[in-house]
Amino acid sequence: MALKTEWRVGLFIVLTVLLILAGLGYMAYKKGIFQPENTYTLSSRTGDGLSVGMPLYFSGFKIGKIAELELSDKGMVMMKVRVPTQHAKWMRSDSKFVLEKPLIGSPKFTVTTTNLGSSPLTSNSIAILTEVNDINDAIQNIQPILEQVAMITDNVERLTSALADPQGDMSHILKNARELTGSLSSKKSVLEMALGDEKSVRNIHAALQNARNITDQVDQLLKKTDEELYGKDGIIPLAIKILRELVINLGKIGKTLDNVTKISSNAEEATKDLKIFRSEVDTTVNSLNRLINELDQKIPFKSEPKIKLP
Amino acid sequence: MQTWYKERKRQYDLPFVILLKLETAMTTAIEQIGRSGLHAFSSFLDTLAFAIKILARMFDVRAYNSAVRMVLINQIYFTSVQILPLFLTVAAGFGAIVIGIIGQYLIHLGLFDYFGQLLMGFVVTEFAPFITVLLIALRSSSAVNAEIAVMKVNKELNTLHVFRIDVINYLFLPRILCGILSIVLLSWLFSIVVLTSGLIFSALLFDMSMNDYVTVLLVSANFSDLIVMSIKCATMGFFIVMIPIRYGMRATDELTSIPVSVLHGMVNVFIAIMIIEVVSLIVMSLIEKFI
Repeated sequence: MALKTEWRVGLFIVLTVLLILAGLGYMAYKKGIFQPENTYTLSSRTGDGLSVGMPLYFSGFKIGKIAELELSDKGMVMMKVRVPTQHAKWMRSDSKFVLEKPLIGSPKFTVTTTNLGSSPLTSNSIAILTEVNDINDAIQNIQPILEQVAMITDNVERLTSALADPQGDMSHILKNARELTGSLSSKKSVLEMALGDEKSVRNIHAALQNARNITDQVDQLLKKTDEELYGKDGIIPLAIKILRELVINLGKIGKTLDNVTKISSNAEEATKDLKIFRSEVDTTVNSLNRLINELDQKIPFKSEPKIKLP
Repeated sequence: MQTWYKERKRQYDLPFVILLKLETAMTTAIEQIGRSGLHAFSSFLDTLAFAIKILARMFDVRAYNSAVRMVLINQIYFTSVQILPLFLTVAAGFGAIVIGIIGQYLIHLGLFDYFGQLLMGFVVTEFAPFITVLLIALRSSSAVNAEIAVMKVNKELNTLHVFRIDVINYLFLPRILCGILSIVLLSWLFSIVVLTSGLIFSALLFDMSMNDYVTVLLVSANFSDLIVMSIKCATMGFFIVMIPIRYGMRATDELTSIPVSVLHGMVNVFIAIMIIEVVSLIVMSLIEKFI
């Protein structure tokens, strides 16, 4: 039993440890921990935003990290960047190293290579790290706007001081407006306020009364006209009645004309037959003449020439 | 006259009596709080001193004789090997459910890019140790607490003293070592099972290929997180066995003190788990910030 327990415990520990080591080993292998690395040196004007272990990105992929940061004798920040050999192909002599400092979020260390055909970046050469600072850019963009805002506030201040001045234009306008509203408030109606004279208001009222009378008369006239035109015995119904009868008569005339057309066509056909008959009669008379002549030639001895007609 | 006097006294002295009673009650309450605070602090110091004592003995090679080794093996067997079928089933089930829910929510919110980070940051470093500790605490910590309390009540600890057998070496050290080893190994095992079941369920639910799944995990995995997770597991393993031992030792000669000691021990175990979780989160955030 003891041996069995020991064996089981041993098997559990060994298998679990092996599984863990295998997992860690696979992870380390895939992360490129066993791969040889190339070290590159970069210099920067400032170390602000840089830190050891900061990843280096190429096209959004992490290809290396900052291994060391130190200050040179000339006051420049020197950094060592370690990149696995499989990613060393992206590091070229004309590669641009940029530290992006966004307005929001942590800085990002990136490398961009436009010409992959250029010579590889050597470990001895020192590349320059440039800084793209969104905050400074934003401040630079905001600066003109701030100047304009300052001008606007200056103008507003001048305006308000002019408004507040007792001898200013605005004070005069307000004084006039006060007088105007005072005089208007003493009038009885809006019209009187507008005209400022009571007699004129009375004249306007009389003119309006006359206009009302005229419109009443015009209205009566229109009513009469309407009755005469559209009434039961009005002009318009009578004209409609006449027109209807005219339409009926025109229909009858149309039929008569059709019959006349038919008769004329028949007469035309009959005249064609008369011509044929005439020609046939002519032909027959001619043939009788010829026959008589022939008989005259053949029987000259007859004392009484007599011809029996067919 | 006397009635009138009594009535007046009652009328005028009533606020004074109430104030007096309130003052007494407040004093008692403050005293009680102070007493509890002092007791808790003293208990914390005692536990810390006991922990240091155990830690010192842990690194003493002479402590590991054959008897201790045998007890250690038996403890590992009872704590880790016997629980394995249940543990692996729970791990696979929980893993499938958690990964399914997380994946669905991430897809729903359009944040599936964070799937790997959630798997490594939540499931592996937080969820796996927590579930493991919970299972082991419920099963083994309570057992250790009851075992030590029963030994104390039965005066078996005194007997060991009489026979000059070191109680710490023979009883406590193997159990605490077993707690550390079990929690660390089982947490890793839990993570491996969860991630494996995640691989299957990701393929079934989200049409995710094995290569994509492994790549997503590797991108999100950090050695520092895994190291912190292992240290957290070891710390939890240490305390979830040491605290029950400590409370088991507090049992009196009466049998009724056994459940009381188990109750106190388990409550403190869960408090310790919460404290270690919080501390580990702070440490991980500090690591992310400065490294």
